[in-house]
Amino acid sequence: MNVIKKIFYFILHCLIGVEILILITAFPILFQNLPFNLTDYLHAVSDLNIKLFTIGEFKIDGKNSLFPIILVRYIESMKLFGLGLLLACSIAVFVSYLTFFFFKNKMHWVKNLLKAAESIPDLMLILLLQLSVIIIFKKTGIKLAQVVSVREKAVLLPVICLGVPISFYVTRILILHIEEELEKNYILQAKAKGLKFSYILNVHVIRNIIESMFGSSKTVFWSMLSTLLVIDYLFNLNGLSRTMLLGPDPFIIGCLLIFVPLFILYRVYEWVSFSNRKDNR
Amino acid sequence: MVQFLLKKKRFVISVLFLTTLLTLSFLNTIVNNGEIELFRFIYDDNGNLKAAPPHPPFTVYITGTDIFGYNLGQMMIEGAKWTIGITFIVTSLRLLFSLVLSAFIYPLKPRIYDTIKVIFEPFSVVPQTIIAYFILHSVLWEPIDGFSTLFWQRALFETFILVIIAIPNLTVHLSSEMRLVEKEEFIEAAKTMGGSKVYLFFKHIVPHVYEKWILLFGQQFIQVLQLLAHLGFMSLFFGGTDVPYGDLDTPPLSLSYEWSGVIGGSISYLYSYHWMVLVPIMFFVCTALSMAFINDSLEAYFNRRSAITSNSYIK
Repeated sequence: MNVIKKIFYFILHCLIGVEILILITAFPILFQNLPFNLTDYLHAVSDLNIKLFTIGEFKIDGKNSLFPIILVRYIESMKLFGLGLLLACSIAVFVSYLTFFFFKNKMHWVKNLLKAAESIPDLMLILLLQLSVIIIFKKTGIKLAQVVSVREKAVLLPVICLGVPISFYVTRILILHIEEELEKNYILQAKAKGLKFSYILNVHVIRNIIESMFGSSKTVFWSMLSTLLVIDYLFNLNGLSRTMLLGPDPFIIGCLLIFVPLFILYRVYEWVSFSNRKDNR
Repeated sequence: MVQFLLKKKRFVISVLFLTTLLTLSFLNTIVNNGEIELFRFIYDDNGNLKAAPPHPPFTVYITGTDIFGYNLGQMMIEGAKWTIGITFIVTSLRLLFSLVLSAFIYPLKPRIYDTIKVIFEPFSVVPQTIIAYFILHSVLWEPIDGFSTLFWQRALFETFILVIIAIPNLTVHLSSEMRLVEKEEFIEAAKTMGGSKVYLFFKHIVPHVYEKWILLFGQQFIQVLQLLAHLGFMSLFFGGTDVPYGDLDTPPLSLSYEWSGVIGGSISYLYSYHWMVLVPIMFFVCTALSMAFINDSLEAYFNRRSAITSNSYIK
């Protein structure tokens, strides 16, 4: 009974989310030429609803069909996204291990640096990376990476540009969580037993903070997706976020492609997460 | 408080930077009538042309010139009051509205509160930039037969949208903090003593969370700045984009040298004259950094104060 109730609420919540997205999609019609046209807006909302739930025909720009194209672009974008996330996480783990092993007495210094770096707009970092590759190419003739995709596809630089701006945030959160975890009593006991610091960090601390790291992943995904848009434009990639802005149909489908997987992910996480299991016991 | 903050070098430098920038910006409008210095061509002794605009940095002006030879640094100073002003207004309105909303939402029953959270959830997944661009594009992008709306209408509309897309996230964040305070024991005690809801809110909940509101202001300021930079980068300028139809050589224009507009206008020169994009972005970065430093100093002050009060309790 409990499971059925849960599934029912899951579907209901998902539908509410989709409905909100439809309301956003029809928003420009409400403000066309700026006075409110409420009737047109309601018409557009009901049209979109019918189209979505009967799986009608979606057009990309009024002529061509949306469906195979957007899925291909979605997969392309998600590949980039995954690689960027991987890069950000590896940078974060690397930097925080470095600070914990070698710069432990300069911790506040590292934290301040990360905080400052985090507030720099990602646009600046991306443009600087791109320009430095170009300048190196002009000076030495060595092409480190493909800068703009014309025929060849640029992969390395977009991944770096996606991963580096967010990695400051991830690193700061990781350091904070590790510090918090190191304060706990079991660490003291482990130290008293004579375990090495690297062993404690690798085995106990990392295992215990993975879950709280996942809790702050929403911000990470969110800001990475908005960076993805800039990258799409700057590297001339045909990604999902660029396709989304072509019209209302691509926008709603793109929103659903972003929203539904993340929604499922977070709901499943809520069910299996430690705090929930603890409450139910 | 002032003494503690004045001892922090970062705080003083940041405040000085922001105030000088704004003062210069207003002075430029009042004294100089908002005009920008122009430097066209450099001739050598024989009268031959040596250089034409755009001049790179450190030749004619420190920050270089744009494609027509206007001083880029002065342009940035002239535009500072617009960008910082817009960001300030949007941030304050965001906080104000979400505070009012969360003050009404936080005492609701868990069931209703969770439903509201579900309704607000899509906004925390789909990025702000994409929603803002999608909604604003139809109004701000000039149609082929010219704008049918007035400038102030478009500006008001953009402010409204930039405010409203952040309210769901902020409201959930603020009200969940209030709910955490509400679960404390002293709230229970105050309720038993007969404190009304309004009294409880202002006397017991606000003092516990207002420091976080101040810090949130700085974070939101940086976020709005970033959002404006993104929109400007995609040639969606504050108050509408003047699209030069038919004239393909001139990029879209922005009004009153607003920074994001300057970025969007010169983004096509990124590879040939890179300083024309980098200088406006440098100004963005400096503003964001000084806001982050101010925030950081304030946070240090709050932490110190709470440490002092908790120590005095122990004694």
